Amino acid sequence: MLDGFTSAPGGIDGNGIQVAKQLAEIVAIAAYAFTVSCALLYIIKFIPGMHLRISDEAEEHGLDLDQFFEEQIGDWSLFEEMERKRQMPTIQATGTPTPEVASARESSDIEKSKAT
Amino acid sequence: MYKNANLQQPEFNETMPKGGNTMEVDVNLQYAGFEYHYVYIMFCGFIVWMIIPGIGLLYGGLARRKSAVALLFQSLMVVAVTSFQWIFWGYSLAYSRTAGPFIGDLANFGMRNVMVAPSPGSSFLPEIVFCFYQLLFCACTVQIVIGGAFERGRIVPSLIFAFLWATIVYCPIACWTWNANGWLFNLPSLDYAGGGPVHQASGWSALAYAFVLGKRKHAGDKSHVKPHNTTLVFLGTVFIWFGWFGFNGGSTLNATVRAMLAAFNTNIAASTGMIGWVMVDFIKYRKFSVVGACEGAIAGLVGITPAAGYVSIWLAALIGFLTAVVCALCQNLNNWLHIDEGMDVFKLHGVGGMVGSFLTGIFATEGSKYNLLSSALS
Repeated sequence: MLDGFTSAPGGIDGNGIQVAKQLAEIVAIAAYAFTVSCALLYIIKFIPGMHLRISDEAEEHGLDLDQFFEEQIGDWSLFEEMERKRQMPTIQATGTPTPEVASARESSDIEKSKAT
Repeated sequence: MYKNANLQQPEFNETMPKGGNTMEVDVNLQYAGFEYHYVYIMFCGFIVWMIIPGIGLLYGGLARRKSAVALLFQSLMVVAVTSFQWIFWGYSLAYSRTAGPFIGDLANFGMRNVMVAPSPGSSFLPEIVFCFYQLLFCACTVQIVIGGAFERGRIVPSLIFAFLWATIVYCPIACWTWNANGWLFNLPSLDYAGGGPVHQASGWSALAYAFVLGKRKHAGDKSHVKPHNTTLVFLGTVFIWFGWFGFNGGSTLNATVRAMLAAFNTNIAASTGMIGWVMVDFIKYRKFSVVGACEGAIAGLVGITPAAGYVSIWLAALIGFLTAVVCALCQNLNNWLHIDEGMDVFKLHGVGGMVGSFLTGIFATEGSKYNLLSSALS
């Protein structure tokens, strides 16, 4: 007995009945946990104003947008930029580049010419 | 028991349920020479806490990006709600000394008398330490259940559910299993660290949550069942694995060699579990998966939980491996059940917990297998 007092023989010690006792535990806990949880959830579901689940429309946009201030996983500016590009592909393609973008292009052009 | 001329094991005295008047006696004195037990258990409690944000990160990573913040938020809020529940009446309902076979009474309502007296779980621990350690078990379990509400469950009802679920599901089952008056404790069914109250209960309840909520709306998007962030899954698993050393290693409720064996077995079962799951993946698809490796480790950990301190090392390795293989082969479980439970809570904790408890019945072994130490201690 490793701690001096616990004795727990199982099947390999010839105590086969332990397996049946474990099965009793499994059945009891599984049945109790599932049934009581279901009952509890149904009760909460039908309490007025409690809405267990978000609306379909909110689900489309994600739980976070519905339930939180504007918080999300990842760099929000990056995703905003992607969203903007997705919505305005034509403007992106034909619009005049901002000064920063223009200068960046120029510098990369210079580097290319240096390389060649 | 410990027979030593100089040291006397602390004993609960019914006339002093608080463990003595701090104004009159040195209440620490009763633990003289045995302090290492509660220091160790307190440390185990601290690292068990890491499991809770770990589960938040794991589930956050498994969910889609647009619904992942909710799971991080819930993971911390659940600690808050459950901690309150525990000091309000949770501890008393699970562990009061005067409990019945099915549920405790309110003898320790609002932490009444919970302080320095030797705890009901182990007389080496002041009751406050035992209470804290068990609080974190309850919080972990509730957090696992909340995973069933992912991507569509509103936050407020989920937290109210957390309070009520801890009260009418976790506390009774913990009482059955670990309270000295509980019916499973006296059967006896073997549960070292929570295969029943923690894993089977949470797995089945998460399935119930997903079932009552109904399936997610599926607009044909590719990301529907795809974990959005593998790094979060990885980080969460690291936290969980680390925390589990405290979870299993501390469940001995003392710092004897059995506790060290439980911690050792925990690591070995997680390892073989990971090998098992990765093997199943590789044989089926000839590819690897980080998410698969993480789920394998967790399946192994779940499997060894009820057996941790009862089995020898090689059998612990076998339990971890078998549990993970069974869970991995249940890959399409959600389709078979027609329940949208995408965090795999039922697969890992429900199925894994049942497999673990079953294998515990087979592989648990008497002290005779540990000859080396039994003669020294008993």
